[in-house]
Order: sequence, then C-alpha cells, then structure tokens
Amino acid sequence: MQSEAPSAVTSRPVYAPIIIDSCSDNDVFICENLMSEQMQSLYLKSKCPAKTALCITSDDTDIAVDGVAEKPIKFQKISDFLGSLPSLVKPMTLRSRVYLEGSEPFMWRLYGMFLAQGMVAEQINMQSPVSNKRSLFCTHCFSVTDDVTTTVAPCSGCGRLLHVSDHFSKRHAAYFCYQVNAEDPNDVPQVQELT
Amino acid sequence: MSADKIQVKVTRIVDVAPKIKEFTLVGVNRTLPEFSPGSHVMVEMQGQEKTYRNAYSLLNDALDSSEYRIAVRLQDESRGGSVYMHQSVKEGDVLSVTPPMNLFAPLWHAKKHLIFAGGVGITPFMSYIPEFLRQGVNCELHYMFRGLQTGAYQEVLQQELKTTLFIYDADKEQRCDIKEVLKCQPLGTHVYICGPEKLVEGVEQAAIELGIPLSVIHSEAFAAPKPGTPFKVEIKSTGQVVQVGEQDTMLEALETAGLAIPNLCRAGVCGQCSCAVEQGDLDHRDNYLSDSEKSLGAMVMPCVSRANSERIILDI
Amino acid sequence: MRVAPKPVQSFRDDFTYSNSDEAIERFPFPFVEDEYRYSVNIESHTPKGGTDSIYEHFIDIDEHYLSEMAERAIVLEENPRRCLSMGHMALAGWDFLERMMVSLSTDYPQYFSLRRDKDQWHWENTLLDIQQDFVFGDESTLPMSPLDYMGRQVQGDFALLDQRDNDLFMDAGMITCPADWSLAFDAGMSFSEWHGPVPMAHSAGIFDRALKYLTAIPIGSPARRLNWTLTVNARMDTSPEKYPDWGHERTTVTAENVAQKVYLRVELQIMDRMPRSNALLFVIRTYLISLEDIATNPEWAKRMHRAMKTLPQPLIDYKGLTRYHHLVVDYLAQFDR
Repeated sequence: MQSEAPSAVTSRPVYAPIIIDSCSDNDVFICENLMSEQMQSLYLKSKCPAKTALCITSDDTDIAVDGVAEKPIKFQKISDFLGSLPSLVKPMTLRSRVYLEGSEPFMWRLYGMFLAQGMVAEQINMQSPVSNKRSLFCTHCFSVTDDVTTTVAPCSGCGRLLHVSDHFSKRHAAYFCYQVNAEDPNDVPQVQELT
Repeated sequence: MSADKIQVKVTRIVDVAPKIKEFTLVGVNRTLPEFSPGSHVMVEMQGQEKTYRNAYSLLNDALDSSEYRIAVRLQDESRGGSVYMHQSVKEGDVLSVTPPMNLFAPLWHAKKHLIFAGGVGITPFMSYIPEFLRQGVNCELHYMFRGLQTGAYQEVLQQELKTTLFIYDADKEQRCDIKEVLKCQPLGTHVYICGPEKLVEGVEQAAIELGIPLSVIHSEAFAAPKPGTPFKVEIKSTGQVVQVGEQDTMLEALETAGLAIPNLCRAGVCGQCSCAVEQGDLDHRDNYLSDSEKSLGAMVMPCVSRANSERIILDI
Repeated sequence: MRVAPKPVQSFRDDFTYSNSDEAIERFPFPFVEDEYRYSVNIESHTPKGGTDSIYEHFIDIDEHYLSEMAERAIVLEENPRRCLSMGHMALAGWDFLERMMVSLSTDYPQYFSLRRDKDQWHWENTLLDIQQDFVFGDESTLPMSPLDYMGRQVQGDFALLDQRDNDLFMDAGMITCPADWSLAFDAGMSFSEWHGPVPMAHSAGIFDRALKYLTAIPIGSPARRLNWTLTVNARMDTSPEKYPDWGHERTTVTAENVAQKVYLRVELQIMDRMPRSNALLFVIRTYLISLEDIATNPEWAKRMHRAMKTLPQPLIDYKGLTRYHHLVVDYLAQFDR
C-alpha cells in the first residue's frame, strides 16, 4: 500500500480542500478538459456577481455541463487562452479569485500566468490534481517533458533517462530531474509509478 | 550582532508641523551608509538620568545618503525620548545612530502601491515615493492626520503625487472611507500602512471583510514599548537582580545594570535581543516569536515584553 | 595576501589543481567536534586568525584566483544561464558590484583599484588585466549586467536574495561551482522551497531559525558559516547541470586512490545586507583539499574520521557519498588509533 504521508520534500505542493470565498467580486473557474462534478458544484456555490467558467481542451468534446447555466468558454490550447488573459483579468481586483482544476503542471502553468498579472497566491485556488502526470525539468538540457507518470523516464530534449524527484518549482511548473544512471550506466533502477 | 554606532551631528532643526520637528544629521568625520527606502535608524540620546533609544524612519530620497533626515513627533505619553529630542537637542549637537535597518521595504514587483499614512506615520513613505516616481510605478497615498498637531510635508507630497494624493484632516472633520478605497484596487496592488494601531487594524479589518488577502497588506510593526507593572529580573549566571520600573523596558533596565544585550529594532521585530528564560510568567508583546514559542515561555524579547510575575529568571 | 595567485590550473579533464603548503595551513577545516552534528553555526563575519587567515578580509582572494576565474569563464561560455537576474533585482546587482569593488580595492590594493567621482567610476583589475570606465547605475556603460561583470572577477559563487514577506527569494545569482544544486531550477523559490530536498533539518526547526536570523542581518554586520561535502577529483563545477559529466567519477574511488581522489569541499558562506536594495547577498566561497593533504595534519585527520564515522545515513545519501563513504572512513581510521 502506498503511504499517505506527504512528501518529505517541502517544495512539493500540498493541496487543501477548496472553499469558495464569499467576499469575491469576480470568480474565474478554469478546467483542463471537462468540468468535474466537484468543480460544477463549486461554481454553483459561488454567489459572485461576475463569474466565468473556462475549459481548455484539445479535443472536440462538447463541454456543455448540466447544472451550469452558461456553457463554459472553450479554448483549444493554453496559448490561445493566454491571448485572452489580459481582457479576462482587466476587471479583476484584489478581491477576485481563480479556481483551477486539472493536472498539476496545467494548474501551475496557469498559476504562473496569473501571478504575472499581479495576482497573489492566496487568490488562486487549486483542486487536488486530477492525475499523477508530472512535468519534468531536465537539469542537464533544461527541457521540460510533459505527461510523465513514472520515475525513470526519458527526457524529451536530450533523451537521457531521468530520475524524477519531489523537488518542485512553481516557476517551471515542473519537478527537478537528473540522469538516473550517470554514475553507472548499467545501474538503472526499476521503473516505478509516480504518486 | 549589535551594529557599530555612527556619530552624527545635527545640522538643522525645523518645525514641519505643530508637534513635529525635523532633524538633519550628517556623519562626524565619515560618510553615512547607503540605505534603502523604508529604512530606519535607532537614535541614542544621552539624557540626564537614562539613555533613550528611539527608532526613526529616514525621510530623504535613498539616492542621496550624504545626510539623514528624521522627523520626531512630540509624544503625549512619551517615555522621554521625543521630549528630549524636542527640548534638549540643538543644532550642532552630536548624537549616535545605528546603521540603517529596513523592516519595511516596499515590494519591488508590485504594479501599484497604495499607502495609508496616519500622522507622523508618513515618515517611512517619504523615501518610498521618489523611488516609485523614478520607476514609473503607480502610487496612491491616503494621508490622515490632525492638522492642529501633525500633517507634515503636504506641499512636497502634493508636488510629487498630484492627483493621487488624498488628504484627510480630522480637525476639519475630513474622514477616509478605507473600505471604499480598498474595494476596487487592481491586481498587483500592494497596500502599506503606518500610523496608530487603530489605523493598522482598521485597514486590516476592511481587507478581511472585502476578501483581500492579508499577504498584500504591509504595516510598519513598530509600537513604542508600553509601561507596565514593575518586576525583578534575576540573572542566572551571576545571581544579579535587576529592577524593571513601570516606565522602563526590561532591555533598558538590563543595559543600565551593565549587561550588553545585542539589539537592533527595540520594537519586538528583529529578534536580536532574544533571551533564554529559566523561570517566570511572561507578558509577550513582540511580533517576533511565534504563538507556540510564546506559550512555551522559553524565550523572551526584553525590548518590549514584560513579566506577569513579580520575578523572572533569565538564563543569560 | 601572501599567497599570490598561481598560474592557471585546471578543475576538469587533467585536474592539475593543487594546494601549496601555505594553502593547506590556512584551509578552513570545518569539523569542530568529534561527532557530526547538524547545526546552523552562524557567526559574525569579522576578521579572525590574523594576517593570511582566510578570515582576514571580507572576500578571500588566494592562490587559486586565476584558476577559478578561468574555470568560471568556461562554465559561463558553455551555459550563460548559470547567471541570472529577475527584473526587480537590477538595483541589487549594482549593490553587489559596489560591495565587491570597494572591498577588493581596499583589501588588495596591489591587485585592484577603484576611483569614484560621483557616478563616474574607474575600475582596474591587474590580475585579469581589466580596466573599465563606467557610470554607476547605468548598465549600458558596462559590457554586461553588473552581477555578471563583477561575478567573473571574484572567487566564490553569489546569490542575491530578495527579502519580502519575512522570507528570502532566490531571484538572482551567478552559480558556477555549486555543491549539486541548480540556480536555473531553484530560481524564484522561497528559502524553505529551495531547501526542500535537505533531509532532517526541516523538522528540527533549523530553517525557521536560520531564516529569522538572516532576514534580520543589518547593513555592515555580515555573518558567515561553514558548510562541507566531499567531491571526487578537484572538480569545482559539481552542478546538476553537468552531473552526466562527473557522476561516474563517484565509482572510481578505490582503497588505493581514495587519499588522492577524494576532496573535502568546504564552503565559506557569507551573508551580507545590500544597503541600496535591502537584498541579502549570499557568497559561497569554495575550498578544495585532498584527503592526502588533510592527513598532513594528524589532528584534522583524526577529527574528520570521527565526523565521517558518525554521519547519519540520510546525510550520506543526500550528500551523494553513498558509493565511497566507507572508503573514506577506512582510510581516515589509521589516524584515529
């Protein structure tokens, strides 16, 4: 059985349950792919005068959800969303909140975008990641490899086999990774599923 | 790590408000250290009966450290320092100051700076504003005072800030609606407060009610040490017993007794004067120790904290 | 400085680096107790040990100056991202340049000189044959950013930490000889985040106390501490970036070569408040000495044996010593009988 204890590495993010802030003047809900039931219920709980739901999904699925009156706004890629970000944040204030749902790298990439707009961490709420997918930062070639679920995984940039650590950078939205067999090329540990 | 003291000469004293005097200080046979906006120095005054040490913000543009300017408000409930500065210090006198220390620096990545100043609480912001103007960052100042007592530097602030200066003179029944000001502040705004505790609490309370994260609210945490019941301090290593009077701080009493305790802020912020406590019921008044450290009672900040019991024993 | 800079020696490939007898004598030996204990061990960075001591001046320039500057140039040429500075750290970069130029020209006038006329500055570094007129505060008058420019002329790695919210942030630095940490990855992190992977110390509250101490360091009262690890071969750049190049060296240690191959790597860390920006400068000045050279001082060898023997396993692993730690203990045992 997997241990439930949080990682010993203190830079690894810990996710607390989301509580809707009733004082907010502008709530933005952003989901990777479809909006989960949990997120829908948070959306409905928000009594905020201005609220927006957005989905960023690369496939053609219909993103309409029951219970959420307005159909969420759909973007195909994070880069498309980035273009519309300035107009989205323009009416936002120190009182506004963002709620994020998706994989860990997805949420932290958006976190970085909102921080650049002037938001502070307390304004950005994240659900527990929906998957164990991580992005890897290769410290040798500085490439980021997405959608990794195992430790010992190849770097998409330099091809080296990487050990995936729990040391996390919010700025890179990725984990610290280094060549697993640099000391002894034949010493490659068994591949393990990440938690 | 008590920093080395700097001898300074008072070259000019001017009244800048009915109860505020401004002092210009230059180094005696030395240049003064550079400083950053929001810095303060501790001024040491050799009074007749005791040595006063008060912290004062540096008022001048940090780009020019050829002199230091400080402003001193005559405190109604003064423990002596401000009275000494107002009545005993003359142009030409020599005082000693600590090197500048900054516990209230602005956040350089802010997109807008929103300032609430009350009375003499304007002083730390006098060094902020020239730098904000140079960097071209938006700055808005709400300045509250009683015109019959304080309200210094209105003219220079008016020249610097123009339409983003808002003045409220309570003696003219002008009030600031803090909640209204905070309500629509854009993302990236950082809020700074310096003034009476009531003002700090008022802004914080309004922020909480509006759902503004407290991490964007910054206040100069200085509070003058408040008097309290007298008590005795026993020094474990020597058995020496030091009496702390109603108007003295524990740190002052220890210093007067000849004990050198490292210190920097004398306001319960920097943690330098921390002393180990062997025994005694403590009245913690500092902002340095965490709540759990305070309840543990193993440490005390003698610059502001006192004892609830008649006698405490310090392990120093 | 009585130890004059020697001609360039290498910290890679053929590893020609060596310590003179004088350099061995002044080496900052870090083990003060007979048992390993994790501690913050910070003290005021004031001169001690007299003339020639590594603590004589703010920054110690020693016989390896030219070698370390040549090594740094290679690292930066290969990867310019080993030096970085975020937008809000520009002023801190000038603070750094000023601190270094003023202290070097004061402490080593035979090698460095600085003339200042308001913001018109003239800098000379005779060791590297550099002369530069520039306007203080105007980056366009320097060939590169002030941190990059001056970092290439001073021994040691440098981080400039922004101080806000009672915390420190890794927002600028030049790190070319780290003990296995990456500035590019740790950039922007808070104090507790960049120490994330360090075992044992978080729960002991060591980082909380250290942070409170560091954020209270005033202008003109720098502090210092020693830190240590072991390195195979006299390699300065033991960065994660270059780990594929040096990791295999950990498997090359044998009972026969351990004394020549394993180096004690000591960091003299100096923390100094920058007056104009309120940033905290973190200097990491690295010294390398082979076990063989340590053994020339029997007291050191004995004490190091005891420290190595009692080092907890999590730290052996964290410091990357797992493969050869026992060989070090076995070698040093002969000096502790």
